[in-house]
Amino acid sequence: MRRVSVQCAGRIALPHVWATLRVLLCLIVWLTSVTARGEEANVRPDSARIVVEQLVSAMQEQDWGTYSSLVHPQHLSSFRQFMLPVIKVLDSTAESREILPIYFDGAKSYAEFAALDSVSFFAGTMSLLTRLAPGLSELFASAGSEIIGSVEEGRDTTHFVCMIHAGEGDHTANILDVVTLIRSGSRWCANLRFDPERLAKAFQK
Amino acid sequence: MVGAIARAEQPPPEVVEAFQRYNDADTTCIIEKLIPFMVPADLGVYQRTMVYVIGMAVEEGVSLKVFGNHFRNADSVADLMTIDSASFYVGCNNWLMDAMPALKETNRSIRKKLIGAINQSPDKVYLVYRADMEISGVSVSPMTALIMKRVGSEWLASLEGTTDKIADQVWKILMRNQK
Repeated sequence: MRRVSVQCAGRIALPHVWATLRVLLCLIVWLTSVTARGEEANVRPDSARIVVEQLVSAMQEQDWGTYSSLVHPQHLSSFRQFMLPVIKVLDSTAESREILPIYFDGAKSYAEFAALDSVSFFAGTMSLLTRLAPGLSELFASAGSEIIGSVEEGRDTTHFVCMIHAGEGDHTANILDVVTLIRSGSRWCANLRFDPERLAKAFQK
Repeated sequence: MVGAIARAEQPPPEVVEAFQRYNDADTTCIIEKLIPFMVPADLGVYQRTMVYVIGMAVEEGVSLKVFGNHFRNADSVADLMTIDSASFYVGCNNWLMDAMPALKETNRSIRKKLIGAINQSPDKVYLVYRADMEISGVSVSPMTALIMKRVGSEWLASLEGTTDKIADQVWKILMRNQK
């Protein structure tokens, strides 16, 4: 897309912010759900908040290994199940066969992709998507989340109200969203919300 | 990244009542009915943001004709800023609903269940609700937040944190027509 600069009422922005914001929303807003890691995790809301911060930090650094380790295993499994057919299509092109192993732990065939565990698969998918979508890497790096507060729903669910800022300076987009964490045993877990249609479109682009 | 964060509290009853009035108007899909329940200043921000996005689209070759009669007497991007902000909001959202017919049906089907609130200040409350709706025949229940602000003696719905989502949608639709 041609880069244009239009000024209106003191605001200047770049088209790629809007063009990639949809992908960002898909990945951050609709994907963001987290689970506390390790045996030290507990179920207090304060520890859940820390997990939200870790998630945002991992997203900014594009440390998808850490990011995926923060996501609920069951939801990672659902994600993998949905994405495997997409990877199968990508695997059919010569160019993709060269690129895919770089992001998926060296898997060289669809059978090897399918054999990857959910955490590796999710991390590989995110790394690949970040590479394929122009401007997405910069947008992730610039995105931040301000946690406004939390609302508890029953004993096992906490909703965090966040204001997500994407872009820089006058180019910043502010998105109000809710990140939900759920409790599973001794750990905080949360939904991996994703919109399959949006994600598939992101890959098609 | 954050310091102490606010904990959930009961929203003031007048906020819940204002939310209910806004919600009732929202489900009619008649945009004009929403205006009395919205923060007027936010409508101005909305207009500046959308005009900016439309301006970018025009530079990409999009014609203002795609908006049909939703922005009457606007022959240029500059003209869009001469429309009063409430009329602009109505025009833009009516155009969006024309561009996405399913949106109207989805809006009508939304049932909002208030889960809790964060009273950030005496004049600003974040409401958290579950929005049960049907999208293309599929039932979904996303968690959503809405900011309510006190303006004078009234509690009104704010577009803060929402305008950029809509701007993204506007940009996407305008660029779709370019492909």
